Amino acid sequence: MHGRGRNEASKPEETAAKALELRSLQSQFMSNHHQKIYTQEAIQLSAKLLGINPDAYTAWNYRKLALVSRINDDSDPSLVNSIIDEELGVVKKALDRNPKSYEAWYHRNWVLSKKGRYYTSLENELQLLNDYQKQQLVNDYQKQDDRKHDNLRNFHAWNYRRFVVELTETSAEDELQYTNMINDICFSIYSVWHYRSVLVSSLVAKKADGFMPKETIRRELDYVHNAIFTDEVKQSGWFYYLWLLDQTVKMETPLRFSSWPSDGSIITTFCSEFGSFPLILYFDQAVSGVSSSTVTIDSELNGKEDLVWEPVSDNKNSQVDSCVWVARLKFDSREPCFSRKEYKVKVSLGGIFSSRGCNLTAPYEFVFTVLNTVGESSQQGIVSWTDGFDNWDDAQSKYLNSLIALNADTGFE
Amino acid sequence: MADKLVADKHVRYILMAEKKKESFESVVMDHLRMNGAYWGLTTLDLLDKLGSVSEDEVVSWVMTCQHESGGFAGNTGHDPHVIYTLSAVQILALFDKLSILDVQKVSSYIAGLQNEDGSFSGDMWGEVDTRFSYIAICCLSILKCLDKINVKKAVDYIVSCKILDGGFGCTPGAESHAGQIFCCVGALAITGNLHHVDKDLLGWWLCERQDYESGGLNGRPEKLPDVCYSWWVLSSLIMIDRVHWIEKGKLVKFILDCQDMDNGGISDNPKDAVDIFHTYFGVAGLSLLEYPGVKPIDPAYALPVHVINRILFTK
Repeated sequence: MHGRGRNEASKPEETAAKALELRSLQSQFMSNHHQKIYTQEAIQLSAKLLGINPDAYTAWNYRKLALVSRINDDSDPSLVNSIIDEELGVVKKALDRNPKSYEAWYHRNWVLSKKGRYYTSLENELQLLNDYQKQQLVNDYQKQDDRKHDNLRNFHAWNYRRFVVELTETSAEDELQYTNMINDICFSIYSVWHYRSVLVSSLVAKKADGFMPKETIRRELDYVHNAIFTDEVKQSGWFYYLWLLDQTVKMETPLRFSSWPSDGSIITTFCSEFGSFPLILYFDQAVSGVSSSTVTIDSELNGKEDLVWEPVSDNKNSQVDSCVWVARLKFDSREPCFSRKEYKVKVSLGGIFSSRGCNLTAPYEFVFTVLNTVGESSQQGIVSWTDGFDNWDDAQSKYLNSLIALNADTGFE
Repeated sequence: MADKLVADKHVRYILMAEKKKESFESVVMDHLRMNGAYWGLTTLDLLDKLGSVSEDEVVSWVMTCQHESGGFAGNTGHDPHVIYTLSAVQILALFDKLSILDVQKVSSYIAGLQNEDGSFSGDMWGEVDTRFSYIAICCLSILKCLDKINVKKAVDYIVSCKILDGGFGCTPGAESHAGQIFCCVGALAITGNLHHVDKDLLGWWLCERQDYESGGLNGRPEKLPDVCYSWWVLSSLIMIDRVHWIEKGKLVKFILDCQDMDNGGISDNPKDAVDIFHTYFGVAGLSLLEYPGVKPIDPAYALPVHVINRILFTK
């Protein structure tokens, strides 16, 4: 059992008395709960129970029901504030008893999510959390004993902090300063480094002032070097260092892609009148922004119509990131330009970015050929490709075509 | 220093603890008796002593904990929650008594707790945590009702909780913790989605939990080793096929050293008091380490392999 020595003897009479008192409290509480009694006396009884047993989750549920029965959106603000104060007070007592009680932390979160906008002392909440986290923070970190309730290592408190920061709209820059302050005293708190990585990522993604990717990473590398030189045995700084190095690799990796049809390939169309075939782009990272302005087609085939690019994903919204994008290249043999047998199609890409900020390092293009064999085959709507399949016989072609038959109706599957 | 598993003493410890309902420790943990029963009974089964308890008594008590919503509470009279619903289903599975359940009712309770973004709440009060994603997926998989939830969205939510160090947190942005990692990796394993895990990166983070001197595992950097992480870390390593990255012999030794050789039971570390929670995790850890005399346990479902086989391989 955490925090209790194996040979700690407790006097049997004392524990028997405590057990009886708790048993009696529990039964009275259950009776109030099942009969939905929310008198002041009943509510105070639940507070007493939670002070002894902060993990008694049914009692926290009861207090939520009691709160909802006492206040609503039209209630007097001063009543709302006093009830919120009361709830937060019960949570504080419970956390003094067990700082790792999931139920107690969630109750605080729940009360402020429901009624936070009415709470006049909301700005104090972050200050209270700062005070709570900084308790027991000693100047000489080597003296820290991890067996103590070290509030800065309490992940519940950090999760709650993210909730309060969002509720109070505190800036990521301010929070970064907070992590600086803690690291100045003690470099070995993993939660702080993790939080820092989340803040830095968000500031870089938002392109905040002073947080361009390369300058940020250089600055953070100097910062973490300091931590590692101070105490190379502690792991936390090293994990942050590894993450930073990983960011540099990601930034310098160019975006790569492949296509179908591929560069230099030949597509044979057997189509009596009109049809289309898919033009597929595959990227090695999920990208957005693939459209007729970033992908241009130079060919007599597509005419004046802009291609419509769709991501291959459950969400057809063009704002979604996807590795695979498809458009249909249409052709119509009734068009005068379709009299020739062979057409070159040049596809150019530029200005496409991945969600990690990687892009094609230079405008890229590829060219393929479309061979028109109108009237040369009775098979309608079948597209086959000859690139690399020069020696296929009829049986193989038929088998392949039966698997991937493309026609104007069904489109690309 | 211990050199063997005193299985008989642990069995006796568990059976005695079950009877001491009126001790202060027991009363304080009254609300999570369902979890305690699961820990104790699974340990007994792993040590091949499940027959020492009265199956009828346990099963009928479990059923008194079912709420009209279909969910199970931690004990009779308490409110329902997914945590206790999973333990109840696992206990019934141990005794091969899943057939007494109204599967439709239980699975609807759990499925009803899935949110729009794919996450799961623990109960009607809305707390969201990837622990609950694992619980829902594990429970519905045992009941063969995974199709009642949106598995893709559930998986997407879990993946959104993946962190920069390869681990997983309780919600997006939260830090890695071995317990959360077990839950997320377990859920991904059960739904066939382990390809979302960067196995080398996570495997490294997990194997770094091993303390060089004692051989024990901690849950996060800079924390002390604790026997319960013999489960959370070890099962995760097994699921991602990186268990060879830790020194198994040293971990076995650490777990054995945490036994109370006189009174039975296992504690979080050699100096602390024993409890059912750590007794279960110690024995389960030894099972994963293939310690002789302990039946094999499934790392994702946290139930003996013979129980899971019985469920998954019969209609």
